[in-house]
Amino acid sequence: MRMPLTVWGIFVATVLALFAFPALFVSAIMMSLDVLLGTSFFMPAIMTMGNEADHVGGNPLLFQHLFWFFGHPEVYIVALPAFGIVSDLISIHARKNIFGYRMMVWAIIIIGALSFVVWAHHMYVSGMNPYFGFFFATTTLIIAVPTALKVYNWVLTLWQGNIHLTIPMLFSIAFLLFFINGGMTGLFLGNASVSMPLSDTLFVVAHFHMVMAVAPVMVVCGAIYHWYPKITGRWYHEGMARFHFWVTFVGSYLVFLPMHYLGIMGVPRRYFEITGTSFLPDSAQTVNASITIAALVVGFAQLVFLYNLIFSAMKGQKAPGNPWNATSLEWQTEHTPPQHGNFGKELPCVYRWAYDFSVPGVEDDFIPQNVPPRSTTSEAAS
Amino acid sequence: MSNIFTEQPWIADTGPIAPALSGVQISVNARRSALKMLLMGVSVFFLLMIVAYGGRMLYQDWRPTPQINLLWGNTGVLLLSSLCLQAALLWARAGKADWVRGALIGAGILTVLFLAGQLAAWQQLTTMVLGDFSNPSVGFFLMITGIHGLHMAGGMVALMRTIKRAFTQTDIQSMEHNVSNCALYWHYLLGVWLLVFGLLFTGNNFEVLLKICGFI
Repeated sequence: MRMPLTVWGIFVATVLALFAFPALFVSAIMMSLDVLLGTSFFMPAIMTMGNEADHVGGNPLLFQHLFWFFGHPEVYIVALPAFGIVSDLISIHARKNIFGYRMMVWAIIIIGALSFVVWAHHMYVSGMNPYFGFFFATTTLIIAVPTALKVYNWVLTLWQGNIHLTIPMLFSIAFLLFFINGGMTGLFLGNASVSMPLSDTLFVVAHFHMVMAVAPVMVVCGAIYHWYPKITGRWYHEGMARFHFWVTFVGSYLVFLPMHYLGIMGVPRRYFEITGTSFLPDSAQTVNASITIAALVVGFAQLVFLYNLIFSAMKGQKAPGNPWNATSLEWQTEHTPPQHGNFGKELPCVYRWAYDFSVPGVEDDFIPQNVPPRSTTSEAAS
Repeated sequence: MSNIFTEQPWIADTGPIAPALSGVQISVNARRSALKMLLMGVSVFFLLMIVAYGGRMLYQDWRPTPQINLLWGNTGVLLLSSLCLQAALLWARAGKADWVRGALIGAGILTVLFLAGQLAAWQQLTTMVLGDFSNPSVGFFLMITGIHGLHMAGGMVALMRTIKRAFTQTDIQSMEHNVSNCALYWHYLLGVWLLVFGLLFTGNNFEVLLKICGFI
């Protein structure tokens, strides 16, 4: 209960991976046996290319169940480390302890556990007992509770914080904006009855890109900029980083926000070209074209990002060991970048959590985790 | 006394929380933990296969696998090999190195015998169904027994190393750690086998269970 939330996020995601990947493995083995050995786990009696295949009695729905039993926790395997990292970024760059630390930890654990009982919300239109649909809609909507708690806590950490609009902080705020937007549309899609007409439309594409593609990628970018000085010992180019942030942030919104409207109009996903589109206005195609242009521009910005990472690693300004005045252990290493063994001969001893920022009565606005209590003025007085 | 529910992490400690573990202890704990994590993953793996089997059973066209009596014999052999490893563990704790070596070799021979028996059962089944694997229950039988067998074969690699160490080392305590890990793995795979054998490959037990639960 005193680990940085980054570590908690990665730890719980690893446990999820341990339980979820066997499902993918099982389905992969069964599918391989269907193809190689002629078994019929998934392949029903089917005509292919005008000929009757050898399979009888396979059940394609079984594959969907196994796949999504892996596939839904996988969403959280992607998201939980991002949740953890963004908590630390917001806390460090707002110079405030994370709001509701224990609640944040328990929310990560509860989200991880619940992620195993929602998989069939990916299968509302595959055909299932309405009671199952009700069950999975309910569990799906319950996940919104710990997730919303996390969002409130991030916002409350920012509240009256000493916000530094550094690149990691900009990406963290962008994460919040994408995640809240994507989370809201999740409430629509979690309901079986609302989800069915929206199924397989661009609305779904917009939802999951907002919530699990762009939002965690924002955190990944923020995290790379945050730890870059420690990893390379040099600063990234600030101008290029700001260009990368603004183009990616605005561009991604331009890509995915209009998709909600197209989806509600009924534009299906996955088609390269569709016919019978008289129900759509011509402007739908104009929006579609603008999405493509925005996506290309966002793609270009990532090239600038990569160039910045490589160029700055060689030519960037030298960075100090703890440029953000952060408290966690990785910033307290003897060398920057850290050398083999990280901490030299003696391992650091942890006395406190990773969120001692702006502690009253202490001269610096942060106390590293490895500083004993008596060595700071206020604690010595108490 | 604080626990994870009541702990207040924002209050700093006055001293180090726990004494540092020594190198050997960390390595033993790490191995044991890694084994437990592996077994958790394997549990999910077999559980999903059993659930998938049950799900497939619910369909009208389900045809059960023909009974193979040889599997009873194989189950007995696996049980004996597990008992051998348990005996090896008890003897290791009692410091009887020679007895440990004998029991380990016994467990190894019995495991090889079990795997050979499973191959023979495959052979019997293939003859019974005339090489037609399109019946899902036959497919499940081959897959589940095959994957269980692969886990046993993987365990044999660890057991061989343990046997080698038991003959080259005299330190009974490090022998005990290795034997106890092997024993845990064998008992676990025996449990998995008893579960899949009892539920899926000895008549209609699983069907009865599903009926009791109201699925059929």
